[in-house]
Amino acid sequence: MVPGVAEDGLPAVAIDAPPPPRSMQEVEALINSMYSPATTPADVAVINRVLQQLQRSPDGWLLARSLSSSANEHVQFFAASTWIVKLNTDWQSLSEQDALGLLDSLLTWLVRVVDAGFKPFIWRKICGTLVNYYIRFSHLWQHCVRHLICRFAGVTTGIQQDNLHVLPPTATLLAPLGNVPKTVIVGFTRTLIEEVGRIDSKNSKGYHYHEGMNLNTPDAASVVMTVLTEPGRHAMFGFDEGMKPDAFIRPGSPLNHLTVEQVTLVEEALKCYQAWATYSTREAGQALQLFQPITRVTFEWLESPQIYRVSSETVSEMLVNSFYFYTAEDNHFLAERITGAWGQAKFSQIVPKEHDDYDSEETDAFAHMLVAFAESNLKGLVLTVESQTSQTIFEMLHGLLRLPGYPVADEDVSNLEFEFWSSLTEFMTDQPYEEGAPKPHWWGICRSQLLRAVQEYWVKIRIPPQNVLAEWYKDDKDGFQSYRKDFADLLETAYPVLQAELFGELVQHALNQVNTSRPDWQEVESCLFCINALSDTLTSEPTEYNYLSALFQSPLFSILANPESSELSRTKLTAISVIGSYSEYFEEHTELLPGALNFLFSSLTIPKLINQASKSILSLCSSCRTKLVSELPAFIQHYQIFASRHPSESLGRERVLGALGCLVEALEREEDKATALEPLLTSVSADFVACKQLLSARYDDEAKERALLALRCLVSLGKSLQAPEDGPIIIDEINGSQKPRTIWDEGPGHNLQLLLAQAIEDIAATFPKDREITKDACDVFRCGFTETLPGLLVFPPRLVVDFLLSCGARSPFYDVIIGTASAFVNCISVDGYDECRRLTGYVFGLIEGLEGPETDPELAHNILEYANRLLSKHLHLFLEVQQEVLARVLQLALASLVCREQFPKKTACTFWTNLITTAGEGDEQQRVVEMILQQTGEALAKNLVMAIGGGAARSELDNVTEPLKKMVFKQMEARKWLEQSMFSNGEGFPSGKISAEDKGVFLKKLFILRGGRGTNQLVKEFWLACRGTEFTYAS
Amino acid sequence: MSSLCLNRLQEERKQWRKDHPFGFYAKPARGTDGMDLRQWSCGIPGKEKTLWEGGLFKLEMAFPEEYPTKPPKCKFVPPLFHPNVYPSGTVCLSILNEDEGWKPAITIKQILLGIQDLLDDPNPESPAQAEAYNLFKKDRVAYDKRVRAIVKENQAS
Repeated sequence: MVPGVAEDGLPAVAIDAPPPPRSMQEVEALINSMYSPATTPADVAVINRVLQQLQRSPDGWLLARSLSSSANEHVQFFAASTWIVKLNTDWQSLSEQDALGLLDSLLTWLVRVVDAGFKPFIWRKICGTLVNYYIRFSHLWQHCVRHLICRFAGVTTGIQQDNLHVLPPTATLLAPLGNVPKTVIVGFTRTLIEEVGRIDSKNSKGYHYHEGMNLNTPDAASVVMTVLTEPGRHAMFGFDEGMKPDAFIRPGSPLNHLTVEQVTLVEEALKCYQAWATYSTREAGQALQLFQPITRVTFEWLESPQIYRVSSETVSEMLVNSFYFYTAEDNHFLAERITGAWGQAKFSQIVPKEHDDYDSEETDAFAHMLVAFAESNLKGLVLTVESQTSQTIFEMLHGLLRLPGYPVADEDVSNLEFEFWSSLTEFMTDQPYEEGAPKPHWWGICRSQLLRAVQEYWVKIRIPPQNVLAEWYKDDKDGFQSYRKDFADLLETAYPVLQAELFGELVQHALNQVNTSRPDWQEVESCLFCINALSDTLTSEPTEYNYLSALFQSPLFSILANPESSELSRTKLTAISVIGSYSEYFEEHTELLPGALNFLFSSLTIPKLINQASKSILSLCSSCRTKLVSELPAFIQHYQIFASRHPSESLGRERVLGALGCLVEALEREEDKATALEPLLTSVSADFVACKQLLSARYDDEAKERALLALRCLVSLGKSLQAPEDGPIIIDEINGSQKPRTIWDEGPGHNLQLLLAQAIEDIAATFPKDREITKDACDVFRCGFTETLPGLLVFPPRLVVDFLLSCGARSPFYDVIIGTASAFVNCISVDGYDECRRLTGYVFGLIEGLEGPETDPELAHNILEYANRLLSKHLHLFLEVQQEVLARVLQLALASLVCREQFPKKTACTFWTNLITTAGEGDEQQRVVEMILQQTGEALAKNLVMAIGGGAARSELDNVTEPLKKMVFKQMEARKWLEQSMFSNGEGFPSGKISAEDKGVFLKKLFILRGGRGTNQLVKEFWLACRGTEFTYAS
Repeated sequence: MSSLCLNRLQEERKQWRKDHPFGFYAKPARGTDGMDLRQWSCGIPGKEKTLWEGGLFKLEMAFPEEYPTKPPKCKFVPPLFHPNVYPSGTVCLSILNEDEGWKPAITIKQILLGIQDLLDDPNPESPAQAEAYNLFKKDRVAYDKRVRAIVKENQAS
């Protein structure tokens, strides 16, 4: 009978699975076919299910034991994994006797497998099983490492562990063993600490394991030390008995010729050391003392070419993750290694002159170690910067930055140093110095090191020529971009230390190239890239602006503006960004503005540059508007050419039009503004005409896009015509006095406005059911709402309301239309009251068609939003609404408090908060507001109680609490209303989980707080109690 | 600033410089009196093979005094059209909520990657702005078009 197979022979597995095996041979056959490369993945999955069922069955223990005696490796592997499954899921079913028997079986099996020379994956799996065993039964196997060694050494049998201490020392027992058993022992010791290390040591169970590891530490340390020192002694004793044991590896020593098994053993020991050391830094156990002496031995292994990769990786990992494990002497010793004969020789080997000559893995290994050392010893390196060691380390760091090849695509080393140089800078800037006091000697030396590194990087960020770029994969390109950004970040960090000297050097470098007959444009680009990166970091030293002047006055931009060579496009792009980034400079140096802008406008002819050029044009025109007004006619011409060449270039046209709008805004006379705007509006009209033509030719989509483009251009123009935020503040005229009439009220400006409003209405009506068109058209009107002075897009209220009402009649895009209406109401003055009444009639009229907030939550939300604005800005307009209409608004606001939709609910909360707190002007308004509150108070209290009693979602609680706080604070009747709702049975209160007493306590506390800050927390707790303890955030 | 907050932010900065995902940036803001570690400016690129690919969205991260016990506040500047971004630009995401998924172990990298995921995978259960939410629910074609336009306006250079 096969363990785990049902006795009645019925399949105990899924229907599509093969019949369960009936003999051990069949089980083995299944295992073999599961691991056979010929089996399809689908079949593997099916077989796996059958086998898993067997593993998990109560007889899994027996199955594992039977399989473990097989000579087949796959079967053995499966046996080990079966034991792991059982140990994880069913370990409690074992008696102590069974558990000890299992230990014996596992150990016997492991020794047998190793003796028989099975492949490492088998013994590794068995070691994993043993570690699992330890985690379950550590009390039965306390000195597991020592016991395992004794079993391998054959000095004990079975599970007898009482006499372990009288047996010879671990090192002595280990010495005569072969390399493979040693590797197995080290492998077990490493897996043990890795697995136990994953258990949280903070709780009592974890502490128990921590103690267990303390017991095993001396043996573990002895194993690692023996293995790491022994091959040296052995090998050396064979060749030269007279050498000192601590000098056991030197170049040319026999350790350069290790066998494969020896290499595996030493590598395993290094990893084991690292695992124990890492554990000790977290747990600060005994391991710290016993493993620390091994550290220097691990350094020795750097010199063995066969072990170099793993040993340098161990050192790097230790420096990065467990730095505190290394003592000051260790670091000193390591520094000597790196900068000594071995390190220097290794360095020259891994940093060759030609890219093709280097072995990236060898280089990476050294670079990682070097950079990790420099980072973790930064302070020491800096303070002893003149020492030979420090100097060599710095030289090596520079050497890595000069590694041939492009970053990311060719080398992955130079990016490792960004963090080091940034930390160095921060260390330098963090030192507290008194102003004017001389800086310490090291400061200047470190500064020049930093400058040198920046110069080295700056070569690295040069964009490769086309033929190289063409061979790069996307990851290489993305990586290179990212590298440049990281360097820009370093530059910004380093600037407070390097200051104007760096800036001057960058500019000079660029100019040197520009002044040669055949400039290296890649180099110019990289300088400009750096200059751009520093735009936010300049120190306001006058020299910086002098350098900029030299750059902007140079022929650079005229050269770039001239030829259309594609080679230059990248440099142009960066130059365009530079101009945009330094708009503050141009504000002070207006004489250079026309040249810069001409360059930018000329760049609009190249499609690839439009995006960046239009951005920079907008930036410059916005900051330097008053200085540029005289250029307006020329710029308008540029725009007209651009718009005719690239009529569909939406974003570019919007930005340039916006830029021109800024200049128009800066004109003093309104007449001049109107005149300047005419050609701009003509270009937009041309789009409307084009749209109509496209429509008649049945290009509906293209027509719509053109209309959208025109509307967005108007929005952009409108936004730029708004008075700048830092412009002069206009004090409102005294009430009653007439505003002076302008050309926008009558005359040419007004005519422009009428034409424009008509054109917008026309285009919106052409696409009556189009949401985007409606939205963009409304946005054009919005531009003028917040303006205090008349202007092109500051339409008379009548035009605005006419437009909104006709939109409303055409389409159901309430969020757009009512949203615009709310913004309008927010800004109107007395002149707009009548128009506002028309609008209110329309908006509140929509409630009639609404059966409740849930039938159209978006509409409900927007109506309430409008009501809110009206209520808070123009209370009298709200109160004068017809009674039955007002009743509907209030009803909607009440119902929204308990609806399932978040937006109407939150808006309703604001509405009630506003209504309760509104002061009103004069007695009459106060009386009406009070009357409304008295009439709605009871219902409001009921709905608020519904919400806080568990009805609202957690994220809505703060919103719901607001009107509650105001009610408690301001309304005399609040207590009565709230009590009624709280204690009514049935529908009035949503939760049955809270007692009347608790409700009473809540109300008492609520009124003690009188709407104060603590209310929110109180409500939250009450709501939680009402929801009950089963509530989770996921619900 | 508490030393816990300061140390953690310094460590975050270090870790970020050593290893950060492609296309992202995150650094303490530079004020008039030097670097402010509690105010970071970040950039989140749209994920590849999504509607948001090609865009780079600026975000400000403000760390409270109690960080990392309390989460940072993340705000798109300018506010972003997205169902889970409040009209103010603040991101609504469970891992950024002290009462929900925030854990002190969450790193800046994880936050930014989480927000990047959110871009293309909005959570309709916790809407934060009506406009994007309603469009997302009612008119996916228009929503997608709007997103594409936003990506174009915010191109990663």
